[in-house]
Amino acid sequence: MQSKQLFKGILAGLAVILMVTVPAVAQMVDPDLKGYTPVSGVSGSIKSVGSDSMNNEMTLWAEGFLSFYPNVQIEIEGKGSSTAPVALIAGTAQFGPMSRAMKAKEIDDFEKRYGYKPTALRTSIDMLAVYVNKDNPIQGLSLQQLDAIFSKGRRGGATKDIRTWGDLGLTGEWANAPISLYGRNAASGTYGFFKENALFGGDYKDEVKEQPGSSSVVQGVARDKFGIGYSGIGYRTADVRVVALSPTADGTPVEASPENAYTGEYPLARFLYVYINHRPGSQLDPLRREFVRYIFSRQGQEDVVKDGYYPVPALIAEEDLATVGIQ
Amino acid sequence: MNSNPAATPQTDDVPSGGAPRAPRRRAQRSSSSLLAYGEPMLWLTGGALTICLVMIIGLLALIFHQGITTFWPAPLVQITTLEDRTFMGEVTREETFAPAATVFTQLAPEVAQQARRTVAANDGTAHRRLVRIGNFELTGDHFNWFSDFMIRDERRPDWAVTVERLSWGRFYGFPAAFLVDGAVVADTPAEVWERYEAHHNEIRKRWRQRRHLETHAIGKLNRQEEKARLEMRTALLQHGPDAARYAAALERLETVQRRSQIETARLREQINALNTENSRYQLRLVTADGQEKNLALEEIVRAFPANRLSLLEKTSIYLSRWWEFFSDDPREANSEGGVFPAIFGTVVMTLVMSLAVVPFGVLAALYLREYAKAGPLISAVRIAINNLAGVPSIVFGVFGLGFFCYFVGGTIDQLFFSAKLPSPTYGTGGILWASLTLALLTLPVVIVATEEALAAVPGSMREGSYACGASKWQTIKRIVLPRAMPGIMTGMILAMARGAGEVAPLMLVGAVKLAPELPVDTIFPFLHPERSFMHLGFHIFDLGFQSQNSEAAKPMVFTTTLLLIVIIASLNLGAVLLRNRLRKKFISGVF
Amino acid sequence: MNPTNSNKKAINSPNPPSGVSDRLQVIANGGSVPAEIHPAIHDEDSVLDIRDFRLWYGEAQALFDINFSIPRGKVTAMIGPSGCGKSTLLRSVNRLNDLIDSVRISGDMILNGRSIYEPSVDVIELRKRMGMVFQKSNPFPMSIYENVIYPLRIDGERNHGVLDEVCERSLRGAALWEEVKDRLHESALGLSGGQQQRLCIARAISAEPDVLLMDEPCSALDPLATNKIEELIDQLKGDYTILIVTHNMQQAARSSDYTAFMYLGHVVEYGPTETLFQKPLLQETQDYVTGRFG
Ligand SMILES: Nc1ncnc2c1ncn2[C@@H]1O[C@H](COP(=O)(O)OP(=O)(O)O)[C@@H](O)[C@H]1O
Ligand SMILES: [Mg+2]
Repeated sequence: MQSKQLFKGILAGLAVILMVTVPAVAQMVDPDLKGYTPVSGVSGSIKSVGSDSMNNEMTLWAEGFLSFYPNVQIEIEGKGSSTAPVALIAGTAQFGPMSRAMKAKEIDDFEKRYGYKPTALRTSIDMLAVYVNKDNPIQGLSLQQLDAIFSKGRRGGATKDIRTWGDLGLTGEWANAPISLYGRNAASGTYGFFKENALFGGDYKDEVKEQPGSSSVVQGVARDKFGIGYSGIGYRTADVRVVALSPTADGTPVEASPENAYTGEYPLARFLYVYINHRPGSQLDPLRREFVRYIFSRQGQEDVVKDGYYPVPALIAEEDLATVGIQ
Repeated sequence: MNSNPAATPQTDDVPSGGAPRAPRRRAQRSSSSLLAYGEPMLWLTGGALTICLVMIIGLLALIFHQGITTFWPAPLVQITTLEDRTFMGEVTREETFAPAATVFTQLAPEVAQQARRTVAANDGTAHRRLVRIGNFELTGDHFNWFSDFMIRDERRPDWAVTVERLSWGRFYGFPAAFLVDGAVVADTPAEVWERYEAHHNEIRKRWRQRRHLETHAIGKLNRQEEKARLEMRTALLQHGPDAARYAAALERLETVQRRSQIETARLREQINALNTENSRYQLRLVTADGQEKNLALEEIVRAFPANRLSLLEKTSIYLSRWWEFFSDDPREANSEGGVFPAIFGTVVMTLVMSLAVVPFGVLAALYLREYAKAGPLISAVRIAINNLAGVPSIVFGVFGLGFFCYFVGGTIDQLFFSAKLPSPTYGTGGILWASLTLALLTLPVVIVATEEALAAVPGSMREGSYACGASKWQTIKRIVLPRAMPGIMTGMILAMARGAGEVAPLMLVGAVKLAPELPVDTIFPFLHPERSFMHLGFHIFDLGFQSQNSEAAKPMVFTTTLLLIVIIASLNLGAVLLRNRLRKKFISGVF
Repeated sequence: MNPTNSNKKAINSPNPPSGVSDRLQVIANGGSVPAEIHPAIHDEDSVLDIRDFRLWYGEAQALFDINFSIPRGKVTAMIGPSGCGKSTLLRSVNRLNDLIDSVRISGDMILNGRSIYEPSVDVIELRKRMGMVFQKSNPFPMSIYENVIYPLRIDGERNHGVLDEVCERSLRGAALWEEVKDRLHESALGLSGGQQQRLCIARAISAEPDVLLMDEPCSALDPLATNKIEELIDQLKGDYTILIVTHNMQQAARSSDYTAFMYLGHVVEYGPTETLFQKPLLQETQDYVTGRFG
């Protein structure tokens, strides 16, 4: 929760600077970001282990990076954010993409092994979207309602459990239709983020159908007329609809649009991180340095857009590059 | 089974003097009982077979149909909605549905009224189509649903063009101009298209030339540098920072770096020249709703006026898409391009697995069947092997990860690749470990099949050999093994079929989403058993469950599945043919 | 009772048996009767002496106190009803019964003056000095050529000249050469049943064994093939000592020099074939060879 406040603060500040009102997706990338220029002497192999929500993003970065350095070997494994800290600590991966921030326990484990904390790079912005079937007429939901739909305990303060679409005010054939729940498996960062922010830390209902991938949540909802599920905004298809969310029980629902992500009004926006093992004050080896530079370059951030996420502004890019001693 | 109860009393009856009664009873029973003729059993067994066949054929037909049609070029439709927005794209799916009342409340009043009337005239149901509208960087969507009642106008424009690009997915539009060095040189569709076709091939050729320079020439320099760097690291680790060897290695590294910097600069110049030449040519397209977009010709994989194609042209596009699918690396997070690395990985992994499992399994079976004395211990071993076949494959994956990757691989790294640590060489998933894990998984299949084949070797052959004065091993080597070979091959075929279709354990021991570097290539030492690899089964899983643009990935799931089935079938077919040849040689009829 | 019986009678059963098959009845009742051995045999030079040989399959005894000798260079036939132990005795000669775990033996066999069953005997060497032809032909899954020279191959013979020569000689010896000389390198499994059996004979004689053991070599063959094999046995005799088991009385009468009649694990009568078939010492033998029982 605390990191989320921080996040909102940063974004609200940035929104003023940024003025993001352009419709074309390609122009969402901050024009201040520099294009990537290759350097010599980059070779070796990279392995990335972590979030499956960022699997495609990593792959796009890898493909872009490879177009500059065709000989670098890149392997990408995405089975859930929780696999990233383990791999970083064991040294089996150089990059750990995570769709949530590391937990204190994971940071401790890392520190115990290396004597310093892992470095988090804020590479892109995601909105966790709540999806319903394309024919579902529901207009908006509050976090409290989401909590009552998905959780056992209703820590968000809702008084009544919500089991049918009728409980949310829908009529006709929807009134008695039970809500069919789709979610992610516990290893995924999306699972953790949604639990933390939409369920207020409460536990999921047992009926939630846990899916092996971000896309399969969307596909499940696409096939299931009475389904609802949560997944990254990048996985939206024409078969589902994204529901507007309001942070409070009586607030107006906020659309999951890029503007609302940058202003921080959309309640389920988050950074997507890439963690690396970097001793503070030291120099990164050329391979990792260039990969990080690529991520924060104009091309790297265009890849973010391609994947349906939102790019970070040049300010954040500069800040994070500075933490690993670049420029 | 029906004749027994009739027959048994008869034999009982004979000594007790009931002989005359027995045949009568038997005759009565068999003529009156339907069971006697086995009709119900016939129906039951036949029915079971039919159900199996229908399910298998149905599944294959679905995959075949979906997989085979994906690459056929679809016509483009241009749709103008009641809200006066225009879209263009390929129809991918359609369905009939009953629109809820709320659908109309979101529309402008007069539009809603018209839409309501159309739906009411159609008994409250409506038809809608999913259209791939592409142009993602402009629209933010790849697909869109269009309900018929929302459509004002629909047509198939003559000059609509489909463009497949290296990135950003497909683009649909009308050719507006052809630009050279930023200046328009053609501006009618026909002329523009003529220019495009005249230039596209050579530009792609230059592009491939550039890729080749990048991968091979620059790659070689990079590898030399990496090698020098590793030598420096090794010297540092072995002799310490003050040793003369380290200083020498460091100096060597610097020389190599300097040399490769100069070389790289020279190559970059060549590459830049190619790039500049290529970037001179651009195609300007206008989208259905009037936006203009310039596409560099270099970025275009394939473009065609979809509504003007003859059957021959369509076929040629269809084939070229299949060829790209077979022979290219994947693009756009695997949702486009080809699957060549995955095909290669699957085949290599299956072959290495067979190479590992067959000798191992045959030796184990030989011991069990030929040498071990029957007893409780051997029975226990047999039961254990049979149980091994029933262990969930993911357990093998976990074992492979812990034993092969972490333990064996970790040890190898420490002994031979310490300069590269902490990044692992063998201490992580790789094609060798994946093959060995699957070999373990399929070991029971081979052992059981081999044991059966050994047991089926006639005792008379063995005796004949012993009678000639052959020792046990000579008998096994010269008589038993050749004769059992077809059966062993059957075991290998089963193992291959099981191994090639297995995905779950592979995800733990080396199959990854992207690994364009093949485990066998032209770079010394040619075989790279430590490399991670792509696998068609995993690719299917990834496309199906992970891809961002899942609607576009869906057809790829079917084509890839089709491909996997074809590969497994042909590996099996090869083995079956081999087995039949052996069988003819070793087990032909006696008379 | 045959009045010309000059051998001393030592019948263990309390009552001297009377009637047609009294000796056989004694045997069937678990008693023991010494074999009637014709003296003519003692004039022959013997290759193999069987002495007090007994054999058990687990608890069941299959051979009882076998005592007789096989003359060198002659054909000796063993006849008797099914299950009387002919095959068992034959397989004991090349110790093929060693392959069966449950077999126990006592007594001994002496081949050319040396024991077969002594612990120091190398079984493999022993078997190399014997050739064996089985009831059911058992060519190996390899070419005709390889089948014939198999015994040499396992001895490690590599010289092509030697191998070719042995192959031709053995195939000629088995009267098969003319039929297969153009297809030596084709699979042996493509031959007809009679050809396969002659191939097995060729294989059995290719290593020039001291003794050739044949266990009902013709029982699965048609009359024509049987004829050929009988002719073959006629040709082979003299060069080889042949021990042949047969069910066919005519065959025994036609092609053997000596015949042993066995019953339930005992040798009942053993003598020159002619005598045994014309005027045997025992009525029981007479009954069996004329087909009155069995
Ligand atoms: N492998 C064996 N295990 C147990 N008993 C056997 C075996 N082979 C043969 N016998 C028994 O030994 C007796 C003699 O068999 P066999 O020598 O094959 O008779 P024959 O060849 O005269 O027909 C029979 O009672 C048979 O059941
Ligand atoms: Mg027999």
